Amino acid sequence: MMKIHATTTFMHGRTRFEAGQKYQIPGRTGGYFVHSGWATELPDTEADTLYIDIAELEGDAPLPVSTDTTLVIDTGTNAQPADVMGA
Amino acid sequence: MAKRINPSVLDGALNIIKTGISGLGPANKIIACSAEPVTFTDANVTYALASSVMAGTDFTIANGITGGNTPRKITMAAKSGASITTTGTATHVALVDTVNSALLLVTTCTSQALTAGNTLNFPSWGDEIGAPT
Repeated sequence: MMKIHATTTFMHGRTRFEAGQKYQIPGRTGGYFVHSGWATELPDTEADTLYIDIAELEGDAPLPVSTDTTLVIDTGTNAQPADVMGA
Repeated sequence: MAKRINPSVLDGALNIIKTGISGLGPANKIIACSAEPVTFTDANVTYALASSVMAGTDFTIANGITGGNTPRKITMAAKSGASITTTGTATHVALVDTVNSALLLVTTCTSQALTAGNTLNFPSWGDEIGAPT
């Protein structure tokens, strides 16, 4: 686990992290927030933190912040096996 | 046994995105979201990080590439220079109809850290309805 101080308000998944709030979250996820410039790491001794039950990052970390970013969007394919139009 | 569907049938679905039908569509906004939106408000407000306006000329319907006899595909034009309004991790992209408050299409994107004040570009992408197989 990792303790962080959100320096800006940001969204990760369905969770909204509020600027100025202190959180306790999974370590790799916290490292991603710090690396992105959205939070600073707090010492383990920091007591006044809010535990957030969010999933740890798995696989590749999200692509890093850039001033001019182009998304990589996945094309959707709706198959129709056995004449049933899939979603 | 072969199965077949007239491409116009599939285009009917795709045209809801491009031109709309009464009370539904067309899509007039593309939005990068921090989570999978399941409602219009999810996409347009709750999980919205950045967006661009879409117009009918931004959509092209043509033959698709998947198997079957007549797959059809709608391709969305690239949109550049969108302002990132909310900081967060983009994981999904949605097309919505703000006139009818409808969520029309959702896809995934490679997870991307976005910081408010920066610029986001949506590349061209597509959605395909395969033919019956």
